[in-house]
Amino acid sequence: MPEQRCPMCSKPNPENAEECIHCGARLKPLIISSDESTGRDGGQSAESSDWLSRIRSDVQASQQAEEEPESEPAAENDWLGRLRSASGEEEAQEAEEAGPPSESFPDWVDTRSPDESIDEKVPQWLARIRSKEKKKAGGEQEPAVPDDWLQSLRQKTDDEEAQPVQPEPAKDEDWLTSLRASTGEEDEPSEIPEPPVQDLGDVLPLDEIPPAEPPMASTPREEPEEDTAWLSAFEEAAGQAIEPATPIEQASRDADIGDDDSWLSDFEAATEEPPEESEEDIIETPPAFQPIDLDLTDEVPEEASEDEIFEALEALDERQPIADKPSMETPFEGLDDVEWIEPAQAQAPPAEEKPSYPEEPVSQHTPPLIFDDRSQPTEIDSQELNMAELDLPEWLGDLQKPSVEASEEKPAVDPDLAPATLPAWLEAMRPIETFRSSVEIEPDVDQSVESTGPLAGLRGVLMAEPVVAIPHQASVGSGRLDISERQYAQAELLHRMVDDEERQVSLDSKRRRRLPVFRWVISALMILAILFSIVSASPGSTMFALPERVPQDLGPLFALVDGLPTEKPVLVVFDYPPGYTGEFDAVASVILEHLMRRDISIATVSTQVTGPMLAERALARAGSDHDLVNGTDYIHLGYLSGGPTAVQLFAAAPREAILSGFLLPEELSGETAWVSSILRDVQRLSDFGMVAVITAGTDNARIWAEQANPWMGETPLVMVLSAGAEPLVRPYYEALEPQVDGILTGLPEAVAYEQMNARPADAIARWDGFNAGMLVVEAVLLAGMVYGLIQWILKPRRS
Amino acid sequence: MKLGPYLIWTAAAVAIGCVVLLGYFVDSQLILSLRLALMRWAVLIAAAALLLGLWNLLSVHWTKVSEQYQGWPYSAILILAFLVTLVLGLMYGPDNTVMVNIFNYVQLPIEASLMAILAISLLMAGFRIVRVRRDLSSVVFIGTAFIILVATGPWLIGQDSSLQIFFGQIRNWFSQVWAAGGARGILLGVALGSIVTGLRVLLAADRPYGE
Repeated sequence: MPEQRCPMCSKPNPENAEECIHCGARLKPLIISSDESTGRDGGQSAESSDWLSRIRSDVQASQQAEEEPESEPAAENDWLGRLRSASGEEEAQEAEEAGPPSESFPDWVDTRSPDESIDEKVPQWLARIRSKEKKKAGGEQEPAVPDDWLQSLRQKTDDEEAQPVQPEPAKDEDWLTSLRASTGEEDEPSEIPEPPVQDLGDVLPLDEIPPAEPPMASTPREEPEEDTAWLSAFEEAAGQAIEPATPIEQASRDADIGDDDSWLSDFEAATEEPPEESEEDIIETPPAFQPIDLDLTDEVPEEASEDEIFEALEALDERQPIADKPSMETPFEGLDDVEWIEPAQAQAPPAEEKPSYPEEPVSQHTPPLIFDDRSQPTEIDSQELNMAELDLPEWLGDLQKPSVEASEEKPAVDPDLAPATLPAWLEAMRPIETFRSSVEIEPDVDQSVESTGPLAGLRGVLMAEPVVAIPHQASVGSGRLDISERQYAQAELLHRMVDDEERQVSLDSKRRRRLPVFRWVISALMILAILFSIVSASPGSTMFALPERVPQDLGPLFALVDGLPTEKPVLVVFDYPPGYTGEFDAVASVILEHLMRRDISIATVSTQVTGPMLAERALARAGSDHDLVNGTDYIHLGYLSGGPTAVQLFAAAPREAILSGFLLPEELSGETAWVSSILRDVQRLSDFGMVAVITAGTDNARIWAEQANPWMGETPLVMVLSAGAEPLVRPYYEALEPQVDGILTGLPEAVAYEQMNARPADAIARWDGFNAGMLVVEAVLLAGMVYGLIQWILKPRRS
Repeated sequence: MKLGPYLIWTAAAVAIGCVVLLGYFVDSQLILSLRLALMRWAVLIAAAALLLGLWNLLSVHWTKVSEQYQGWPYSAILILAFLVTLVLGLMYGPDNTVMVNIFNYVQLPIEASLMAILAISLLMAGFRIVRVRRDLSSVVFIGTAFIILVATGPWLIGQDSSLQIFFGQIRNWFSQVWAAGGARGILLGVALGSIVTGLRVLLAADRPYGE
């Protein structure tokens, strides 16, 4: 063999090459199987459970068989042998020339211990099966009926392995190639020069490699569930064709196996009721399992003998088309030397004839770890199970290297194996967390070159832009505001206000204009009351009685005015607006009348623009009976502009504050009022005999009381006030050092003052009208209060 | 503190205020004369301010007339009256008979009528106040007004009776205790506010004359 073939790419390589020059796969194993002895030690079940070691040992065994070509007669019973025979007759012929292969069973099948007694608790029909099988294989061993038939099988295998290895048919080490030829390339058997069939019964195909500890490697009693898992799978796969009562079941009943028939009981139970496989069972189940028609009810009568059952099983084996299912891992595959299995395997329908299950698209590289009941083994099609297309791991390639050396003479066949990829069933066994179907690495040319940052210039740098720079939707909903009900209500109110501002107010034409009847009624009542008092009043008498009591503030005031010196003029300040003339004409008239009665000169001044005219009007009305002469009896200083400052200035220096006068007589034209006979001696405010301020507002009264008081000296300050201004002026009057020496407030006090003065004035003349109006006002207010209170009481009851 | 022209104004304001204030405490002819001079200036400035006020009033109403705002005819009447009074006042002077008659026969009746209308309006408000504002303050307000009116007004019957005397005493109690107490509080507040405002101006804390 000048060259060896790569197990991965199947291309020829030099003989001494350790790695494939084409794909780089290792051609020689790194680990030389040192477990050969242990692998052959069938009594050590623990070591035999290492299926990888067994694979290695089997490869070594096949290599040895190549060197010592001893035909194994039992190889004909191997299902793999039949599989190859189905693919090509050359292989079968070569296998026959090489002799029967050594009976080698998988270690997981070989659980028989040499020490165990063989005549205990073994069903007789199984013992007969074994004996018949051994007879068929050459009768090399004594028929033994072990306690566990599997253990007996294992012991049998071990015994055979202990014998010198028979020469294997050449070029059969590449069992993968043979498998491929027998399965995927079955249509073209002539293109593949198959080596002679060798004993591969001990070498499990890749598809048959148990995914975990072979359940049969240990004592079946200890792990009955695992031992029967494959049976369950088998039963489930074949369940559609198996009737509830199978010959095996019937045979098991007849044989009365007892305790050792647990696996058959499980098988029976599984046949009757296909169990729901757990996830582990599914994983351990071979990826493809062809349903086998085990319906033997036609061939085997209900009360058949063991021989009849055996024959029926053989017939079943013949019906099992196993050539196209090399990847199936069934317990019968390990029992390839059992003849009664072969008919059942031969009975299995071909791939095209298998019952159609609803198939789901399953990726070749990403098989589902969990199958549902429908997508169990049959879901994986034959194409996926084709060994030619299965991707083998590198370590398996290493195992293949010795076999490749033996198959150098094979023609170069370009297999369809994809390098460095895992088969589907092996990928399915991988942990799902670390599962990746494939890693696509872009070529260096396609990889972008980093342009910025410390990694600038490097190729293949992980790009941060997709994470950072590319706009993406924010994970946190920041546009949503977390507002309270109150805030929402305030926002709505603000929004409504803004809308109202923009909305044009339309004229409410539909609104009926209501006549102010009630207002007219009240006005009419007041007018009628006043007119009635005026009309009904007679001279010298009043409709309403005059007040008989003199207010307590009026006596001092009257006494003050009555005691004023006549040589000093009295300054009368007219600081009320024209609207108050109706009240102040009557109130001020009484004190003016009193001054005129005493022939006291009067000088007037005002801080109001209209004040001088009001002064002229009041003096004209009051002095009509006294024949007052302007410039002699009274004089108008006029308007004092400047507010409080002017009042202070006037108080400090009257002559400097007012430089002219108002309505000065003709003899004083071009002169000031200060040159008149009345004011000739007045230099300051204290030179006046009295200062009387007639005002309707509190401000003017306060200004005069505060600003003029420092310059008043002994001159009294009298306030003639409206009724509304009295409360604010009274503190100046009632103080310990009063700044106001007398107060005359309102028409009632004016009437009293007039009565005290005993001179007719305007106060008593307006007394009837004032009282009539007051009565109307009192009545209206009383009616309003009653009306409002009634509504107040009744309206809540209505609601 | 930045240096600038406003320091001049501030110093002038503080100095004038101190001089006027000192006139209340120091009986000095110099200070009094200086104080009076300053006050005359203030009066003149106030008169000038009155003229500015009149000019502002005229311009506002002129704008209303020119822009045809709502109620512009009233503004037109005001301007017309203003110009007529101004012309007549400038022609004849304020104490002319024409001006006195204008006042006596135009201005005085108008303002007196407004006061009469005010009385009617107040009476209407008093009638509705209990119906519109149903709270304790309204009841107290209208009740107090009614008691004062009853005690002040005439009595058709029972004149000088003990009941009238009783209402008279109630009226005096309201006006001289409650109203006078409130008025004193107001006056005290005004006085304190005036003092503080004057001190702030004197200390240049407030500069109403600008920067």
